[in-house]
Amino acid sequence: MTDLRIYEHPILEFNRGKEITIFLDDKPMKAFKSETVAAALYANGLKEFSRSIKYRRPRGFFCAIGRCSACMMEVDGVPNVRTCVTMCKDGMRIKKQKYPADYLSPFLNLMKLPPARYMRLMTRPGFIYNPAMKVMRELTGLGTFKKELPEYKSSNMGCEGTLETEFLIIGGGPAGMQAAIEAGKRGVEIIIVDDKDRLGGQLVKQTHTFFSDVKYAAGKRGFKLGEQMIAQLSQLPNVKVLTETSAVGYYPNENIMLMKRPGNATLKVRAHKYLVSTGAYEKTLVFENNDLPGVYGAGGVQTLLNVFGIKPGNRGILLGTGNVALMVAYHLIQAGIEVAGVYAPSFRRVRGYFVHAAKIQRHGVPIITRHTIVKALGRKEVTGAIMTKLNPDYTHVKGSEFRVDCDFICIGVGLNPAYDLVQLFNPKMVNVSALGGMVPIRDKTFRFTKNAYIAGDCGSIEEATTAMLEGGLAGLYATATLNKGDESVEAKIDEYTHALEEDRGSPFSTRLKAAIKEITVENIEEVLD
Amino acid sequence: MKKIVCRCHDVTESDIESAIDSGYDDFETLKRITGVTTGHCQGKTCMLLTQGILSRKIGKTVTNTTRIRAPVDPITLGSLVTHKQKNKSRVNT
Repeated sequence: MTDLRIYEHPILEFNRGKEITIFLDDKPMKAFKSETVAAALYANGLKEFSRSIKYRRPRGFFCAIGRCSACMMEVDGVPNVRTCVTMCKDGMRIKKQKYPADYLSPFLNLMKLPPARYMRLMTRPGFIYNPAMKVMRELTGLGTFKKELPEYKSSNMGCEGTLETEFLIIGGGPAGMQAAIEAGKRGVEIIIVDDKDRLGGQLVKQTHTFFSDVKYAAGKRGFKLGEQMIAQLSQLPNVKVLTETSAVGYYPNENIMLMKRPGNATLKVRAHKYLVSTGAYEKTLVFENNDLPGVYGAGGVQTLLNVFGIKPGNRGILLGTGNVALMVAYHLIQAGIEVAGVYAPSFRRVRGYFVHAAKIQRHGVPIITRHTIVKALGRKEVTGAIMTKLNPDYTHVKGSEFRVDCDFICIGVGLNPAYDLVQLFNPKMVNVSALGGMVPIRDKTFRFTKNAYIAGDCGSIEEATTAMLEGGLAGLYATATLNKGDESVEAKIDEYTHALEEDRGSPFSTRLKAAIKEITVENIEEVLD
Repeated sequence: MKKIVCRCHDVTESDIESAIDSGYDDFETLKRITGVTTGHCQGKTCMLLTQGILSRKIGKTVTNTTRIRAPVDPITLGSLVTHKQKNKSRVNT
């Protein structure tokens, strides 16, 4: 039995909890209590989690934070469960979602029909449409219902009711936690929700030390900082923490936030103020076979490595030279995994910080700019990659293709703000490339609608420190509008604003600062009308 | 060898390009004909990629996006059921 778990790590200690057994298609597998289903399966050597809907292509996990759709499996009889955010339970039964079309996939793959053509297939004459649909539904799809209705168990299913609170924080990353600390200290009643089993967001995976202002976070390792903030939060009795709870919808007319709770349940929360700090997710690239198991988001690899202590593979390459890619390369080296190279299409210098780039180059990992990936090799999982040199106009240099042997590819080309929940509040959205993608117009107090605030990466792609400062500020502004707190609020706001200015003071941030200035308005109500 | 743009609905780059070539050259119609951004993840991976391809093909920057609708995560219908008794007690407290 393969076991890809790391038991010795120079910095981290993995507290996996109790050992339990889960079953994949009736085959027992070793798992631990603190692992997600996807992590446990991956540790046992499973790379293919599902098949894609049309061409039945093998899919592994990609983002590992519950954003994409690649890891959906049938868990305990419920189809289409995102296994990368579902926690393991003893005796859990997991099934791969397989359908008759798996056997037909070679033929379906042969039919290279453009969409405008296959949308019109089997629609004329009218009477063949319904029987044809019936057959197609049998062949493809994502999961099947049992013929008889499942027994209605009131104990584990249904809506848990409506909670009322003053301040609801969605996303327990650095921004959300700092907001909860600042507002919680001043007596605001808070509910903070996160879709993982623990708070901390992406801080839990950061093993490197932060720099910037010593007063905020610098000189500490990311996960230590996360632990410290969680400890601070646990001392505040007016802050209620709901983990494994993800916000799935906001209904402005009713002012209700709908939450998904573990075990087939939902919860409604009504709050006076909301803070959206949902963070960001990985951008992807288009290249041949870019969905093969083994092509992962850099953040997903970081989760595997530093949260669950599982090796993603033996030898990998990284795409992109942003801080995320450089950091993941360093984390891989720390865990004793070979990094064949860091490749990037950028023509200028390395985009990340020099410190991080130097750190990985010291370990003999080459950083190769002006190169991009053409395709991933392999049938069921990645066995290599074909790279190519780029001309200044981003076309491929002919004949410059070469093969790199690797068993996983990390895409770390940048982050995209998680704007989905923001958009449900009906704000005015703009697409700003300097900030990473779709972001809402906000005012100086981080408000983007009448009752909702934004902080962290979902408002502009930056760092953990800036996210913390923004979160703190948003928390303080919310406190002020709720008529809580005392004179200390304004002094603290000044302090944070100053620190934020300083943090963005470097010449790296000129473009970012200009972009933020452009989307910040005086009066948010005018924009919304 | 396929270049997948939308993972949820298996839409490839050539699918999108051929749809643009046959005249569906704005974001909304492209979305309706190919199905990009309408999968489980509601365009989390494919939206920016589709924008990029469309911008490249028609030669001007496209910034249109689609509207996200609740629920943003898949939930079961059973989880929305309200228990009469349970709910009553919760509301009273």
